[in-house]
Amino acid sequence: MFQQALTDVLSRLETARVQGLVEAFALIGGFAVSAWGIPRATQDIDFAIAIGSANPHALATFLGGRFEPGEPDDSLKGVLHTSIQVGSASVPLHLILFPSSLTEITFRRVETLSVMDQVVPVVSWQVLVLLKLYAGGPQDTLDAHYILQMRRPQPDDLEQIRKMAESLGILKDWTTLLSLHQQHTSDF
Amino acid sequence: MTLQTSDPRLSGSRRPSQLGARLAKHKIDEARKLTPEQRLLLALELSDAAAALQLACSNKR
Repeated sequence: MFQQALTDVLSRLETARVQGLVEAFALIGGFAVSAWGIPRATQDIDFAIAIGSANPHALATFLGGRFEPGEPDDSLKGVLHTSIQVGSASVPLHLILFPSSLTEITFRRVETLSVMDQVVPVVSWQVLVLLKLYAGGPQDTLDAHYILQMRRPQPDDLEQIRKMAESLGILKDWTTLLSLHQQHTSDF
Repeated sequence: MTLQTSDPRLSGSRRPSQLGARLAKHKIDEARKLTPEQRLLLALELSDAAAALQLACSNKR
């Protein structure tokens, strides 16, 4: 079910890109965490999107979903909610629109994974850690912690993440996570 | 930001399980043996299994 849903999503987003409804997209959320960390089940598929000057409502119409804009003080610009029908099942799909600074960082370095004869754009693990800190929920924090444990970051990685965290205003969260990671690493 | 349990009965005087910590490390070591592509595929399969379990459990009510 989820494999088919991911295939359908990629096909639809690529069509939307060709039509100028979206500029770029990259897998985030639980499936990206699985790619860079420990595989785990999730209930939906999340993509970050960059739309430039395109209208998010037009993209929502194309995908048969609805665009929910964030309030002026919200840390997200908006979320497009839709679902992918696979047989009798429905897989929720969320397309996340970040503020411009986070969008720029997210799409600066996107990795591609080849699975099921598809090319899947996925945010880099360094950016995924920051996205998780930005989200700030309990599961997000655990995800970021496990990704760091899995990746065994080098000094260059840490410096790169620190700079991005500083520009996003989440340096304190990063410092706290890094301290926890280093403490955990020294225990083994 | 904390990674502490929210259940007060499981915090405070209780020492974290060494066995639990070793199990977590084992999971990470096993995951490291896979490529990102293999981990993504595994997650897609796990999500299918989780959805099937959820459906089976919801039918019991």
